[in-house]
Amino acid sequence: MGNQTYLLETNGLTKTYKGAKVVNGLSLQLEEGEIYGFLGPNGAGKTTTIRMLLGLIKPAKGRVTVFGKDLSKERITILKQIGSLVESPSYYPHLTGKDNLETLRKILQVPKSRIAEVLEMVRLTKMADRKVKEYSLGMKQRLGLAASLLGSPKLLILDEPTNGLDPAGMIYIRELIKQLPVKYGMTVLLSSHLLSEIDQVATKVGIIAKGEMIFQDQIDVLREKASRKLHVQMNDWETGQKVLSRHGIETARHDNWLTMPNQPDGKIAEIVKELVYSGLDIYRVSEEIASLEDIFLNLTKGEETL
Amino acid sequence: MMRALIQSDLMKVKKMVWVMMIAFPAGLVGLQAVNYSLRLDHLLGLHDDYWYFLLENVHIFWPTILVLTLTLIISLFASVEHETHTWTKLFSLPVNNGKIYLSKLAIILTVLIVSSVLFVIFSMILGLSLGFGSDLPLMAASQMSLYTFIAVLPFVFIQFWLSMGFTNQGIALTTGIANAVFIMYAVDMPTWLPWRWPLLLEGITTIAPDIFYGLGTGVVLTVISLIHLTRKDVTA
Amino acid sequence: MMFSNVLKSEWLKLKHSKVVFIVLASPVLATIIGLFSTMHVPEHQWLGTITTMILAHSAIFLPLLTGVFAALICRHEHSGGSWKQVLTLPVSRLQIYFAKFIVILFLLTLTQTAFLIATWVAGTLKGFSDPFPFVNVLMSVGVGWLACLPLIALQLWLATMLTSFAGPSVVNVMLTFPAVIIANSPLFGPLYPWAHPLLGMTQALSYSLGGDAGFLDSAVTFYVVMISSLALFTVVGSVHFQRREWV
Ligand SMILES: Nc1ncnc2c1ncn2[C@@H]1O[C@H](COP(=O)(O)OP(=O)(O)O)[C@@H](O)[C@H]1O
Ligand SMILES: [Mg+2]
Repeated sequence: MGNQTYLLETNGLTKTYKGAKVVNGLSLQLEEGEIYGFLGPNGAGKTTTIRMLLGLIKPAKGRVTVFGKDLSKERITILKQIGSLVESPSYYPHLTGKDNLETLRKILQVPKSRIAEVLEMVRLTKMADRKVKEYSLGMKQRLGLAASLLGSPKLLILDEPTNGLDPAGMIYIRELIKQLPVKYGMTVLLSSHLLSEIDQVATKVGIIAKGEMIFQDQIDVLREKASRKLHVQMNDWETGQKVLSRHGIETARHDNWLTMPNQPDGKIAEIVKELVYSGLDIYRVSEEIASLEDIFLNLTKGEETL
Repeated sequence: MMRALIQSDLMKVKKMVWVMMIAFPAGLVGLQAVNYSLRLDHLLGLHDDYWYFLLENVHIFWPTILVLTLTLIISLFASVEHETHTWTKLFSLPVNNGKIYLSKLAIILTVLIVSSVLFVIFSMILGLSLGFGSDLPLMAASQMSLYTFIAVLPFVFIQFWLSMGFTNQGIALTTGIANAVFIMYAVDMPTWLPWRWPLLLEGITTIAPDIFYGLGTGVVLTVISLIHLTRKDVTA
Repeated sequence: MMFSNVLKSEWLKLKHSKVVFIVLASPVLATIIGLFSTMHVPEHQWLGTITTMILAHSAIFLPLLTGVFAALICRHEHSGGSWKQVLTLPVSRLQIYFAKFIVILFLLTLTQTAFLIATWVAGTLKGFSDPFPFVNVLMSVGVGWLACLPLIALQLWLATMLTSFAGPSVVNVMLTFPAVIIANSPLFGPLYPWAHPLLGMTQALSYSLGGDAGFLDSAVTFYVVMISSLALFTVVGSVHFQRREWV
């Protein structure tokens, strides 16, 4: 909708299971070249949304537009340029890693050499000729990632891709994902329940809780949202509190610290001046910045209490 | 511990198992009901003892049906674990590995026994409704059902071993179907072949050596398959 | 063009699935039964043995085999969670469904061919000197193949729906067993698709030999029931597959 064309866009996407709206009026916009972090606690509706984006399930309401085309009408054309990894990895345990990719390659019609390439990208070359039932969970996950990359898609949709990976594997995959837009011009939608994962790769974030999008913007905007606080330590907090409340600033006390919402620079200077004029000794002035994790927790917790 | 295991296994049983347990004996007796209703006079003329002849008739396909039932039930039991990859979880429980199999085996055997009992009951109902009189041949029917059950035991353990041991249920099912078919053609086979035993060729109420062969082979196969299964590495 | 790629992909998935064992099981078993067979038809040296083998093969084994094939072809999609992967490939769901259908047909063709060879092997081992009635057995095998189509359509539907391997076969046993009795009725036999493999194979053999086994009162009914049940199960199964939600 609108003038701007997004690579992927949903409008009022809704999915109902047994009367409960598991995904509710979700509008999601993804621009080309972005790495979109789709963030939400377990059960928030990430996988359900992704299944709808891929046409695996049908929305109760709402529309999905990918590459400017309606998913419900041109699913196959759209899928040609999408690579995906949904929830747990998919695999054929009795086949080797290479043959697993071959079953997909035959349909995607990409050159045979592409199999070796994607295996190399996820560092599975050594395991290529082993049956997948011998793989560890992390290896299966990486094979799933290789499968999603096989068709050199324009859009990559990854649902919790670092599940089951060891720390080294996570770092490697994160770096790999970061490079995809730069090196191959791919756009990535990446879901996770961990902010730290998204924080390190995403350029844009969408936060979903209880099926609803509660935040969607550039990751910097999320950081801005960090609710800062100002702490001032002094010798006589009772006087200090009176002085400040005359200036319309409500404070909370902890020992001889007074805590107040963050203020602009000029206002801080004024506050300190007032306190000093009132004969108080100021020991420390400090600012507290909430971590992104705190913001995320606050945002999603707020949802839950609603 | 065994009780807890059995209770936990019972929770996992698919509904289809109960359906088969009832539907197969009911269906088989139902077929004879159709057979009798279509040509009652002809059939009554073949034998003086209506009840005994009825039992012989319902028994004709019973070994085959029983082998098919046990093949499918065992495969259903195994696939619950194979398809959800839960063997690893089961074997990391603080119980003896053998008990995990024994619990499943106990339920499977119980289902087969209940099915055999139902088979006797359904046969009695058919005879009664055909007006063969209230002098129920319960003893003969129970013998027929029990002997068939014992003679079929070796197949229980072959299927148990194939289904639990291999993730690919195609092998177990194909073997089970082959056995079931083979039983129908085993009349002319030498006595030592297990496919012949459930046919009770010496008479459906006669304790023939076949039954003891069945019991012996069954016990030997249980021990072998359980030993093999419990020693095997669990990977999935 | 595109469809053949889907087919090749399905074929590759059969690697290491011990499908050969399953394809050959019935022909091998029929050979053993044929060797032990004492049935003898005076005018025709081969006929008794071949008839015994056809009965063993077609009454129960062949119908039940369709269920095993169907389950086999869907087994890893269920347990490896790969329906979602297959269905996000840029091909229509119908293509996936019919590729699976065709692979089953191919496996069935292999079984029937192996059965044809098995009849020759059994007779040759028994030292039959008359020429092998190739054309007649071929007819029988071919009609048996046709008669399995509706069953396959139903089994594939069940196999895509049920996650347990034995599931489709449970339904199959319930439907096939009555066929053993129903096939005896010239009236009801042709109306019952599960009796068709048996009826088709025996009737085609005797018909090609210029006789009439008397199993079939009406060949027309046979074909009408076969085609309409095939159409019914195919449509219902594929529509269900197409509409279903894949999670
Ligand atoms: N097939 C289904 N039937 C019923 N409820 C479902 C189904 N799939 C998901 N849900 C419910 O939808 C909610 C969202 O699930 P999901 O999308 O998997 O969450 P996430 O991926 O964010 O962890 C959960 O509460 C889950 O129980
Ligand atoms: Mg999820």
